[in-house]
Amino acid sequence: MNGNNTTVIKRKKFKISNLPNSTYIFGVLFIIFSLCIPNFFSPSNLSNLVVQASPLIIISIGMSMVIMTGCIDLSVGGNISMTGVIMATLLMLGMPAIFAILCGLAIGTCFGLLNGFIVQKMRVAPFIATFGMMGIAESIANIVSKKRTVYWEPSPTNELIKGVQTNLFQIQLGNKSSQTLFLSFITIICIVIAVIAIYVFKKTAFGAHIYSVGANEEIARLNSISPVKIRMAVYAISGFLAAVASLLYMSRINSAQPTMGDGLEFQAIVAAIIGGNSLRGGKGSIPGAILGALSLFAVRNALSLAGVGTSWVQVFIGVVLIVGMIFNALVYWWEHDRKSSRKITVKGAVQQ
Amino acid sequence: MSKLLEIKGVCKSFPGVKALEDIDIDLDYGEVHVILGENGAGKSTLMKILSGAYQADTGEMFVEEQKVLHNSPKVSESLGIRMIYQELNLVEELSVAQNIFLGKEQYKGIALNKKQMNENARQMMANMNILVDPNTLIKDLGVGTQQMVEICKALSTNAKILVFDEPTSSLTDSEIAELFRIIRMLKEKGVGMFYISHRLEELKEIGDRVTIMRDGKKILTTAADQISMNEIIEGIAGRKIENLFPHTRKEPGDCLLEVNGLTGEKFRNVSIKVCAGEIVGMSGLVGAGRTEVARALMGIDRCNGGEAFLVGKPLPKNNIQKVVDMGLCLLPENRKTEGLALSLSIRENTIISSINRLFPGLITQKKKESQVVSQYVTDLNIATSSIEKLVQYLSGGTQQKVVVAKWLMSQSKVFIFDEPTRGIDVGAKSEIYRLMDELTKQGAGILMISSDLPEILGMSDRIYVMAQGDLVGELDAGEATQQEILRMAFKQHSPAVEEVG
Amino acid sequence: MKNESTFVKKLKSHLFNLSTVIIFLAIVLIFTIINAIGGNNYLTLSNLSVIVNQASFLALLGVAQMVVLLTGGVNLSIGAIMVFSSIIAGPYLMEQSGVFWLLPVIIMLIFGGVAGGFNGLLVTKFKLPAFIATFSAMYIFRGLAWIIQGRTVIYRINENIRFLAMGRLFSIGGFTVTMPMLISIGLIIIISFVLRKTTFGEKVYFTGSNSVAARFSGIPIHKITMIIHILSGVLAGFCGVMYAARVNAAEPGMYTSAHFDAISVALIGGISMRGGFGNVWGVAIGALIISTIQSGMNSIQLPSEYQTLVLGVLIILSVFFNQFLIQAKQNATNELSTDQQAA
Repeated sequence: MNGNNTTVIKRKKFKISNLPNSTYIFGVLFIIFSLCIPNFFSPSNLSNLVVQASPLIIISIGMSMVIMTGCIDLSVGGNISMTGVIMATLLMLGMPAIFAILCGLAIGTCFGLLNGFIVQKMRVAPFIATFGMMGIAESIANIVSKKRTVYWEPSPTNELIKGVQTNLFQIQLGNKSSQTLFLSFITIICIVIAVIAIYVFKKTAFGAHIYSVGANEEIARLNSISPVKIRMAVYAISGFLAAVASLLYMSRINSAQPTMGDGLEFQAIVAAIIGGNSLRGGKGSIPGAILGALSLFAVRNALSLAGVGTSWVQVFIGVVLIVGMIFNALVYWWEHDRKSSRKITVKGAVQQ
Repeated sequence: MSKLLEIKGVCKSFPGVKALEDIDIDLDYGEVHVILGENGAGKSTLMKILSGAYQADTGEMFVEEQKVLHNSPKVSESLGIRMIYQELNLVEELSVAQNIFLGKEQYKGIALNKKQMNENARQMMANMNILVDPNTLIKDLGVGTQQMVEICKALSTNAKILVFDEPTSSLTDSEIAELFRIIRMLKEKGVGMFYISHRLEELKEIGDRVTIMRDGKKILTTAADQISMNEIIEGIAGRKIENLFPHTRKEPGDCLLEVNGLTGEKFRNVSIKVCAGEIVGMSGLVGAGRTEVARALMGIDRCNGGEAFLVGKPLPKNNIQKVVDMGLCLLPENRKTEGLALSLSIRENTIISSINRLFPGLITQKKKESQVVSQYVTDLNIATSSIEKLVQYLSGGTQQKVVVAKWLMSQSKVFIFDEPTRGIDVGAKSEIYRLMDELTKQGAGILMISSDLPEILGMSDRIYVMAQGDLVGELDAGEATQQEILRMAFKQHSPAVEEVG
Repeated sequence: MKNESTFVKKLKSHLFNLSTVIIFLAIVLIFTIINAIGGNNYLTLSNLSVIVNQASFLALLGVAQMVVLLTGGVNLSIGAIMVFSSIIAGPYLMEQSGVFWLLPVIIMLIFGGVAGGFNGLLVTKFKLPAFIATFSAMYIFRGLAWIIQGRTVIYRINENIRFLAMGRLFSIGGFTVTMPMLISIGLIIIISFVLRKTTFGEKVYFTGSNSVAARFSGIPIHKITMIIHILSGVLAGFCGVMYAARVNAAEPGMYTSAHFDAISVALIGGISMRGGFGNVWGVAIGALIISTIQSGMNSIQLPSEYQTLVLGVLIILSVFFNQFLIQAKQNATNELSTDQQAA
């Protein structure tokens, strides 16, 4: 055997089939809706779509991180209601907006940490732990708001909240109102968070550590990565992002309801799963979850433009999830079947 | 020259089993030390003591003449001891570079220094003559290359001692050749390596020295080129303990199970026969496709071709319930995950496959259940205070007996035992053997899959040998020897290596 | 082995067995004391009958959840199935429709079963995790209910059906025996019989404990899972009958916290989410615990908003402690039998 045998393995080139499923789902839905539904592909509707989807996009980012570690966070919706009601109540009491916002963010984050504590330190299964926490959060929201919508008087101290929903700029592309392209601060906050999340995930060790904890806790431990710390961190992030989403919601509707987060955890899970996350953990991507969330809102938006009732939207989302899961399973099997032929193998010295 | 590693007088006991007895072993710089032995000979236990996963009861360990006091995974890591496991410890969804630097990433400011890590990873892999794009995901690599990444990862932290635990069990021939090339390269760099393997021909290929272990004892250590294959096989197998195997051979009765040309994903064209009163052994290396044949017969896995008959009637495919009803049963190797419901009682575990027959009216009677189960518990000599005891509290041997009781009660005609005595201590072993003998006396047929050669030779009437998915031979137990079986089992495996060596 | 007398061990083993009962008694005691301080008598027969009456409904809900939990799954669509089936049977439920009262009840049971079968299909054929399948089903069935019914309300339920949920039968010294009590006791006995005294029940427990071993033992695990989901759906449909009858109305938005209550009852009643562990009587006590807390909180005038809070905390704590209790109980039983063997 001579010494200068080398094996060359080239990385697979970029392939469309490597994109998260939500890319195609979003792409296909987008084209269909643009063609079939008048007013869907209009500047103002698309601007509006992004604004509507922003809170969900934000919590989907947190949810997909939690799911990547092999856990789940059912308390996100409750957390949104709770932090929203608390922030609104503080505003109602005349507190300055910045104080209310910081309180809300801190409470949301602590709530997430508590989830992490129950899951990791008390060893309660994530499903049950966050399920219980969902009840607790919803209950606190009801207690604080006394089951009523919380409004606040506009005043100089809380202009910041108003500022969140103003538009940075508007461009009139035609003389009809549907031809206004606008960029809201809500959209900007969403984009900033998405960029930071993707940056942290890709450019620091955090992403790789999340994957390793989700794929196999034992591997993580062998590489001196603490599953406890990682899971506490992702739950805290999920809680923080829930509070941010809550802020966007209430600034858009200028009030907070104790039920405003109901069901959002489910939509975030749907977004994460059609974005390529597996409930077993260890895979998935943040851009996938973002596109998943956008797909859901494209459906909502298009259905409402087409005059379909909100009732159908619920059914539709349930169906989208089931189809998405089955689709994911099919892709998995297809890959699995072809795995042996697809794998890059070492061309051994013997054969050369 | 001083020794890289020395282990002196190591003993280790587990409840009921003496796993290691007074083992001395050492390792030189740049040496490949092959450790051979059957399953349960104590190889893995020894390596776990080396890596700090287990603590030795007595004995000393020196690394580069320094005595190691309290070994632990952390200590052994700091000493430069690294394990390359059978099951790879890589994260599939991460890239080569990310895996190599997992947990010890390099930073530039607040961001990862990806360029540097990629370059380092590329360099390290290139040092082993593998030019791989460090951004490639692990899941896109073949098992062989994955193993190289694993080695690379170990080397990235200055490993002095590498332990390979059955590294070639899932590799193709060309991948094995590649692995050996790297092992030779590491030798030149002075890395000491323990190499655990079932494949004897590999010893001649890369081994410098060889140690043979059996029943927790070291049998011999010698230079690899001074020992013949026959000596090795004798050393591994040892003497037979005749009375451990109570099987009384007799004329086989009617043919119970007949398999013609069964073909599945991991095996091809398997034709076997099991008659009443007969124990048929199925030998071969781990991964030869024996368990897969059993699973296909049971209808657990799909099979692509061939047919099987039980007492003349064709066995349905992919229908476990029907297969079980017809009287074929499997006692899986992994009792705890595939054989028993650990959180339920002996009674519930025993009765489960017979309730339809016992209670055709759907309504159960606990009294009748208890009576029937107690009968079997007494017959099989199952050591328990009460049939309501949860099976998770039973010992391995007793658990196995509960599984036997379950199938005995369901009136099975052919029993497939997959590694019937793995993880069972010697005393319980002979009880299981007596039980198997008893089953054949009552007219049942047994197909016994086992990697334990003395067990195969001691218990079987006939022996099939499988290698790499093919049925390579059939031997009469009276004439078969361990050497013959091993040669057959290795037969299909050697050509590539011979070509090189 | 520790130097404990057999008696102590026996006692311990029984105590662990009765852990949920002890929690129940402790909660009753707490509220009795709190009320006594305020000068009220909590522990009256009439109050107890209110608690038991309320628990009867919760127990039905808990049983619907429990059967699925036993196989290692979960059913989040119970509330949605309740609503869906009552909306389907809506026109016949009303007093004014004039049809025989049993007809809408049967329709609801059938549609509950169909919805459960849908869940079962997703779990067995499409291999979705039960959690995802039933979570989607929750949206789909409630959405369908909205589509069919819109924003209108089905009002004035047939009096015969109302009797099922509201009927008072007789009084024993202040303790009023009601229809729901009889119905749920009857149902619990039936389900207990099915789970403990039939071949089907044994298969359910075995499948929940280890589905691989169950498959290898020749148990048709898909069929079992399917039947269990249908059963859960039928029971949910029946819960729908009881609920609509109690509130004398049905509308798509009613009782959105049903799945929460159902899981609470089952988990507090000692059912393990990993499957194969727990029994119906535990669920009954779980229901009693929750209804005692509810009535206790009412008695000290705590608003209903706090109840979900307490339930959330209780779910987490009960699962947390159950991990130890189950282990301790099994250990105690084991030690006991080992001692008997030695003796």
